[in-house]
Order: sequence, then structure tokens, then C-alpha cells
Amino acid sequence: MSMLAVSHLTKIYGEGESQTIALDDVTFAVEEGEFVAIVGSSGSGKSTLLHLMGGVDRPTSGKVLLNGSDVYARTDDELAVFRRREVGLVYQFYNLVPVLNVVENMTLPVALDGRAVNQPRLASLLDTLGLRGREGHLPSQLSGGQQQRVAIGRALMNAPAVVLADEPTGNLDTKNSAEIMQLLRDSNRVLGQTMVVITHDEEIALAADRVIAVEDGRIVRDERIRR
Amino acid sequence: MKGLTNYTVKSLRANKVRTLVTVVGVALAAALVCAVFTTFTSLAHFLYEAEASYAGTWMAVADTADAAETEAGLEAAEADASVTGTAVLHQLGYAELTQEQQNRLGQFQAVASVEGDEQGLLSIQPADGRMPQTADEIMLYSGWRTFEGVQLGSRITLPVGQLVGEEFSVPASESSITVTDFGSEEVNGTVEPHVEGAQERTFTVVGFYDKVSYALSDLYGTVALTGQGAGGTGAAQVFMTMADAESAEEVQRTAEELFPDARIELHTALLRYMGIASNASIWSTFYGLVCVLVGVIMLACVSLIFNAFNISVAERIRQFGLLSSVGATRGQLRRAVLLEACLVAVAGIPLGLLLGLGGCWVTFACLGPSIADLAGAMSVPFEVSVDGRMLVLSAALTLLTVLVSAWVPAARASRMNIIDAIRTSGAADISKRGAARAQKAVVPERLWKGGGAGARLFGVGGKLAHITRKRSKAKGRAASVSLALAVVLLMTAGSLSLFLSTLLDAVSDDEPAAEVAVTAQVARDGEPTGEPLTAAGVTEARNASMAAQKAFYQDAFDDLAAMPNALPVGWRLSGRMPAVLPADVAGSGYDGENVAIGQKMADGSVATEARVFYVEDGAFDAYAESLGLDAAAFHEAGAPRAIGIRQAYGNDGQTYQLLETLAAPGNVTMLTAGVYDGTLPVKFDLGAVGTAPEDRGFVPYLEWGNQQVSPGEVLSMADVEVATTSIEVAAIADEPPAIAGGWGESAKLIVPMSLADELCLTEEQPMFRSFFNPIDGDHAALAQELNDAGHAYFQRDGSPFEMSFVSYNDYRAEADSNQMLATVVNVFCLLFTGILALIALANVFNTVTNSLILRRREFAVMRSVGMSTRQFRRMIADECTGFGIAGLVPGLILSVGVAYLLWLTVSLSLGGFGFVFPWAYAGIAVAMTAVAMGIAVAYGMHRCRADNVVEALRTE
Repeated sequence: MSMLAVSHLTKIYGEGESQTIALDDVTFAVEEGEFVAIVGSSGSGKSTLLHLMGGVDRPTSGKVLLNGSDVYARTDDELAVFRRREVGLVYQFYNLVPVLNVVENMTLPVALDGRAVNQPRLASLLDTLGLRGREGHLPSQLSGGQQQRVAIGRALMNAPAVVLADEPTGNLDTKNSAEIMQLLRDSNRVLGQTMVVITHDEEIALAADRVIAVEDGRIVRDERIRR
Repeated sequence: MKGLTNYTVKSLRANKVRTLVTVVGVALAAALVCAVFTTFTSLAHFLYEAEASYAGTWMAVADTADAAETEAGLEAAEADASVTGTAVLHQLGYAELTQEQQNRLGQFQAVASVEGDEQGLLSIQPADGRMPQTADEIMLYSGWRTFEGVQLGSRITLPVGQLVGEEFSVPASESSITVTDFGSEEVNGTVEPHVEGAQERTFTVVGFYDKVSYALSDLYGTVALTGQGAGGTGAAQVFMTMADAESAEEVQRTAEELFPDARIELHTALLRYMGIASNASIWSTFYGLVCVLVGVIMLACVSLIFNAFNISVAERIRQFGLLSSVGATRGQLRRAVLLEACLVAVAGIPLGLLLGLGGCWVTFACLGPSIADLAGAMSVPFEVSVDGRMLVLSAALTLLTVLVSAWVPAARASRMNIIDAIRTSGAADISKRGAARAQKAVVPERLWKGGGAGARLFGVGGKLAHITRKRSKAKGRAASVSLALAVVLLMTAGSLSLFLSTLLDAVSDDEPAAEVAVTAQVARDGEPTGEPLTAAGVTEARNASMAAQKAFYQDAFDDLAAMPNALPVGWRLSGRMPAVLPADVAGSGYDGENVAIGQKMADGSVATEARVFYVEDGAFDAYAESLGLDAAAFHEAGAPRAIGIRQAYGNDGQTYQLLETLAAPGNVTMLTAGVYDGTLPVKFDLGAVGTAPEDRGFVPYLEWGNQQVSPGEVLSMADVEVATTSIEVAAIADEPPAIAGGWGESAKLIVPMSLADELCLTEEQPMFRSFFNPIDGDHAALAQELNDAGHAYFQRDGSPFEMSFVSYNDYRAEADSNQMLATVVNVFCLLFTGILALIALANVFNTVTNSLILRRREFAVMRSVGMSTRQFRRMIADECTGFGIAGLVPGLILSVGVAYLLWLTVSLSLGGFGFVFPWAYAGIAVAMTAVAMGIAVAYGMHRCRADNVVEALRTE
């Protein structure tokens, strides 16, 4: 059984003449520990796919199965718990809470879950992400690269089943982009973290185990990278 | 500019709710300003109409001495274009009335004929019948109808002649016009007026009038009107009205030019209400009040509209940056915001004016009759009077308010730094202190701990709200300030209402035992005088008179109680009696200096004027038994006993308040009589013949005087033989029986009516008061019936006593009138503050919802990382509770201050009641806060929750 399975997933926005099919009958599966890159041009539906996999939107039809469990069979509150525990989301524009400092942003899903913070994991992540010494900084006091590290830390804090990253380097310079991608790769390879990354950068995609190309809401290519 | 205009319109459309709330705020502002001005113009119009209805529309009157002067003046007036109307009252003379007629109508009856516009200019209208048209017809004051045979169609003969000897001097400065004013003038010169050359003239009565307008009032009574051609003295009063007069001086000047030799009087009240009298101090007060009210409204509205535009600009600062980057000038950006303000004003102001006029219309429709009734002008309705100039002024002031409010945000939009503006993400602004706090919040063990009561109550949502409050710049400050303002306004209205009720309660202290009362008192005579006279003799005579009066009033009560619509409640006799309260009986109310209710003497005892109430035996017995006393023990005249009342209203030298008059039971000495020189009975005043304590006490004086001593001259107690009666105050009660009224203003003693058979405890003739309720509920009709029946009984032929007066009290009508006054004031007060509170609440709504909407991306982030709906709701609830508390607590504290100041102000003149906080209004304030916050949060949450997380996350 695949860890994450997407089955006949369709997402339609709007009605009538203004109807837009963002995803059209998409089916694929991600195995545990896999690093998958989803590529496609702007408006191809890749971000919609990621949001549906992350439980932040509901599909028009089709299923998303995580470890065999239908994500969208859950209630809204159960979905919220799913987002805290089962997935980690990383966005292009970091999406940190402006009033929370680095450690608070990183541990927000834990706090929302009402659990105690795993201090060794937090310490380890701070070291790994190079955020040691900046624990009390607010997002506005950090550079873009640092903010994205915090976002990755937040995504990894709960050791989720899968990390879903939407253009994580899209807003960063080359040096920061390389560092962030290295972090994601390390998470995948060292920690065995399942990773799905959306990008339109072919070079980044080539660093993945597998590349899925999406065009007009459909999968047009799904190939494994041989190294 | 066209592009920016489109942009502005689209901006307004983009945030419909905020635009709508701002438009509503502007509309409310315009409505309030319009309502204040309309109330002002309506009141001015009403006062003018009431005065015109009462006294006519004449502006000046000339008193001419002869026909030639009158004719010449009238001709000149006709030629003068500024004079738009005249009416002439030709004096025919005076008739001396019979003694019986004089008792009701005055000594002389003036007779005159009228020519011209008597209805409009002089407000003369027959209440019954018609105006006289010939020289042998007459219209009389309706008081004439009380005489037998005087009715429409009957003939009346009056000895009309010249009134001589009336050399009066009226100060020229007092150009008053009303009967009361005129009658109260000091009179100089010889006052022995009489009629000379009287000739009997017979008239047919064709009409009666009720309303004694100025023209129909006379120094001696009323004027009887006859038709033209009746002859006369040639002297006349020429009343004039003028067009386009700009000042009272101009009216006076014109009248003097037309009638150079006549005495001119102006209708100052009318001129004042027309706004052209120079001494229009009433308008200064009104203008002041209007300015204060409009100022408060503008201030409250600036707060709302400024806030709305400030948020609007802050929300779009990135858009302004983009516009600027593509070439929009600072002026264009500023004008874009001001245009937005103008568009909001254009939508809000007409709506507001309509609302203001509609609100006035509804309010006046509900309260107009009460206001007209209070003003004593029931015939003139209190209606909305629309003045176009005031509407324009209201609109202009509201537009000014809007532009002033939008000016700073407009300037801010035009001065922003393009790069900063484009980079801004709409995220929360972090305060420096907030950043410092964040730096400290890294201790692993304390991560997500704390957060105060909010965190305990609302969990992690509360903790997040706590962090937001502590670290971000005070976005909710404007909401809290607005809320505090709303709370203070509401509570101030509440305090005013409360103090007004307290004042009314204090003023109407004498809680009536029933709805209607008939009051009567025997004329002051029958006191024994002459030689030899002893105090014991005077006492004996007074006791006998008291017994006779008691029997007389008992019959009266029985007679009145037989009225078909009357439900008898009871009766009482009361009066004042000089009394000495021993030190241990006297209450603390006499301790201070300058107390008005008694004099503390050197030995600690108190000289006072006790108020003794003889209460019907049945009612007394029930009262005594309610206090746990043996009622039978109070009926022995040989050992008189009374129940004392603990408190009375009095002035302690500073404030009017309830004071303790009787502290404990004991024997009180009543000064039942005093005789001077063995010949004359004396009266006793409270006072002091010197400044030392021993000088305090009673001051005897003579009411009638003799050859040696003048009436009123102060005597020495040593020269007076005094008779006393000791009365035992057997018990002290907190409240008097209902039939004995309220607290009163002196030590109050309650005794059974049976004592009146043998003991007089009043220095003056006792006052009879009997109480009745209407069986059919019509108190006014019962009052009239009882008044008529009372007059018939007390003034019947063969009555054993001549009455000083007989009157009635319609307590219910008085209470209604008081209630009406309170209602009118309360309604105006509450309407005004209510609308201002609404404006403030609109501000709260705008601020809270916008601060939530501005953070929609932040909320989406939280939801994307697993915040549940419940947690989200709790976080928002905690944040808004914070806003609410931050507004409510200072608002309530400030309100306590305002209420206390109001109480202090009232206490300056009326004391004895403690400071009362308007708890009910505080409850309303809390509820209002909860509702305002609830609505704002519900809407804000609805907007945030309605957001698609994906879309919100993309928002830049």
C-alpha cells in the first residue's frame, strides 16, 4: 500500500461559463520516503493538487488516501487535526504568523494539538536549519531564506507523514534556493521524510526521485529519475 | 483623474460593508445635526406660535390720549408700507362692579370696542357666541357666567364712566406686555380710583371669551368688548404689526414716528421669539446649547469617519504605492481619498437629513402634546418646523466633518514611500515592546505557557490572542476608545435620568394618599381680643374653635364622600404649632448652624414649629397598630400623645436634604397661646434676638398691633404670657401614614382626630384636606366635581365659618405632569445619547471587523497548519473580549466619575440622598458591549471563515 495515494482527483472552480477545471481526474501514488517533484507551468493545477493533498481544500471528486485512510472522509475539525499531525506544508511566501517568534512559529502545530513540545527535536531542527541564536526573532526580523527555514521547521516539527512544499524556493535568490533544497533533500535522505515539492524549476526537479508533470490539470508525465 | 475616480468608486464597492457602515455613520451624524437644528427651529416656531396664540401677532402698541391722535396715527400707519396690519381698541370707560362681582372679577370692568384684525393681531376669539357687532352688544369674560342670569342673549347693565385717580407709574424700562407682569408692577401715586360720570348702559350678551389675551387684560381685571359706534373717551390702544423689521429698536422707532405723542410698548416676547429683540438672552442659551450638542456630534463623528478612512487607506497602502509607481501624483492620491469621502458624504447626508427630519417628526408626534402641555399652550401644536437654511447648514457641517475626518488619511496616502508601500504585506505591525517580548519568549520550558485568564479560558486560541495583544501595535485602540465613549454617553444619560427622577421624587415629596384632594381653611378671624385677655383664655377659645371646625369638616367630608364618582379615602386637619423639643428628643438635624427647621437653644432644647396632623381615628388606629402601638392610649385629650416622624426635609445651611428631627420619644412642650400686655394674642416666629445661643428660640410678634406696638414688631418673651401644653411623643416612626403626606419640612406629629374635640394643636386655623379616588378613573372630572361640591358646601348660606379658601388638588394630573416632564427630558436625552452611542458602535464595528479582515492571511496560515474552527473562534473571542474590556472598563470608570460629578452638582442644591450608581445602565453598557463585539466578531469571522484558505494564502 502506498503511503499517499491520489485517486481520480478532480477540482472544478466556479460554475457555468466561468467554470475552470483545475484538476482533471488525476491519479498517482507516493511511496514512503519518496521525494517527488511536481512540475508544470503556471496555472497547470500543481498548487491545487498540493493543497488537496494537504487537506486545505476539498476536491470536487476523487480521493486522497494517506496510509489507506480517506483524507476527505473527515470532518473539518478532523481535517484540522490531520494538517497538524500528518502533513507539513511549506509555501513560496513562507506564511509565518507575524506576531510569533521563530520557535513559536515552528511549534505552532504542536501547540494547536495541545501537546508538549518535543524539546530535543526542536533543538535539533534549530541546529539543522541554522536558526540557532534567532529563536526569539519575529518573521519581520528575518531574511527570506531564514523565514523559509522556519517554515520548513514548522512543517517538520511534528514529524509528519509527508511534507508538501509549494515552490519553496520561488521567492529566494540562488544561494538561498540551493540551501533550502539541500535542507529538503537532507530531510528526505537523512530522516527518511516523504517529500512532495512543487516547482517549475527543472533543475530542482531533477534533484527528486521522481518527477510528475502536470498540464491543464492532467498528469502528462510521471517518471523516476535514475542516478 | 478619471482613472482615479473609477479606482475610488471600485474601492468603495470592494468593501461594501465598511462603506455601508461609514455611510450609516455619516447619515447618523447628519441626522443628529439636522435633528438638533430642527428641534431648535421647531421650538422657536412653537414659542412664536404659542405667544401669537396667547397675545396676538402685534409687535407694538401705542396708547393714544384722544381720537385725533388715534386718527392721525392710523392715517400715517396706512401710508407706511412697513406697517402690515393694525387693530384698535377704543376705550369706552369703566364700570364699578358690585361687591359680589368684585370678589370674582375685580373692582372695575373695563369696556372697549375693537376695530381691525382682532383675531390675528390681538388673538381675541369668542369661546362661546360671537363677536359684538353693534354698540349695544357685548362680549364678556367667561367668569361672568358664574353669576345667575348672565348667559348668551341675556341683557346686562353696567354703569360706565370715566375712571379717575389711577395715577400709576410704570418704569419705562419695563415694557412688558403680559397681565401678570403689568399687575406686579410697583404702583406709585394716589391709589383711590373711582368712576365718575357713570351712565347706565345696557348691553345684550352675544359672546364669552376664555382666553384673556393682552388686549383683553386690564389693570383691574378683564375687558368687555362691545361693537363700534359705542362712543367712548377717544383714548385708544393702536396695535401694529410690521414687515421686515430687523430689530426691536426699529419697531419702536417706527411706532414712535407714527404716534409721536403716545406711549409705545413693544411685544417683547414675540419679538424675542422672532429673533429680533435685542435682549434675546433666551436665544443665547439656546445657541450655546445647540453649539455644544453639534460640537459633541461632530467630535464623535470625526472619530468614526477618521477611523474608517484610516483603515481604508492602511488596507490599500500597497495599492497607493502601485498607483504612485505608475505616475499618480501626491495631489491625485490625496484627491482620490477626499473624493471617496465626498462620495460617502453624498450618499450619507441626504439620507441623514431625511432620518433627522423623520426622527423629529416621530418624536414630536409622540412628545409634542406633552411639550405643548408643559408649555401651557395646548391650543398650539408642537410640530416639526423645517427651515431650509438649517438643512443646508446641517449638510455643510456634516460635509465639513467628513472632509476633516478624511484629511489626515488622505495626506497619509499621498505621503507614503512607494517602495515601503509596495513591500507592505498587510501583516500585523509589531511594536518595539512586542519584539522585545518575542525575544524573551524562547525559554523551552515556558513555550506556549502562560497567557493569563484568556489562555485558561480559551486554550491555545486564548494564548495566541494574548500574544497578538502584547506584541502588535494597538489596532484595537480605536475600537476601545469608541466603546469607552459609547459607554460614557450611555451611562451619563443614565445618571441624568436617575438624578432627574430623584429630583422629581424630592420635589413631589408629599406622596398623596389618593388621586384627588379637596383642601379648605377657615378665614382668619374669631381670635379673642380685648381686655382682660389671658393665655389660658386664648387656648380655651382655640380649643373650642378647633372642636367646632372638626365637626364642620367632618360634615364636609361626609358631604363630599356622597359624590357619585368619589371613593372616599380619608381626611385630616393639620397646622403648625410652636414647640420646644427637649435635647434628648430633638434629632441631629438641628445640630448645624443656620438650620432652617429649628433653633437649638442654649440648654440644648430646640425651638421649632411642629407640624401636627390630626388623622381620622380609624386611619390613625390602623397606623398605630402597624407600628405595634396601643391605639387606644392616644385618644385621651387629658394626656395627649402623638407619634413623631423621624425625619423632615430641611436646609442644613448648605443643602436641602432629609434631616433627623425627632430622635427619641419624650414630652414636647407646645406653645398653645401667648398674650401681650393682657390684651393681644401674639404669634411666635423662630429666630434669634441676638447672636448668642441664649438669644435663640422664639420671637413673639403681634399680628394686629395696637396703639403702642405695630403689627409685626418683635417683642420680648418676657413681655408675653405664654400657655403651654405638654404632649408626649410616645413613639418615633420612620414613615408618616399615607394620609399625612410625605416628610414635610418640620418635626411632624401624628395625633388621632378625636383629640380635635378638646385640644387645638395648631396656631393658625387648621388646614382641612380630604382625599378621594375616582370610581370611574376620571380624576380630572372628579376633581372638578369635588371642587364644585366643595365650593357649594363651604360657601353655602348659613355656613358657620367664612372660608379663607377652598381648592382642589388633582394629584394624578400633577404626577402625570411631572412624569411627562421627566419623560420628555429622558426621551430627548436618551435619543441623543443613543444615536451618539450608535455612531460609536459603528466605529467599533468598523475597527474590529477591519482589523480581522486585514489579518485574513494570518488566519489562513493558522488554519493551514491545523487550527480548528473551534480554536479559531476562541482566539477571536478572546481578542475581542480584550477590545471590549479595554473599552468597557475605562468607560465605566469614567462614567463613575461623570455620575459622581453630576451627583455633586445636584447635591449642591439638594442633599440627603446618597450617590447612586446607575447599575441598570451599567448592565445595558455591558450588554451593549457584548452585542457590539458579538456582531463585529460574527461578521469578521464570517468574512474570514468564508475565505478559501488557498485564496487567502495567495493574498499579497
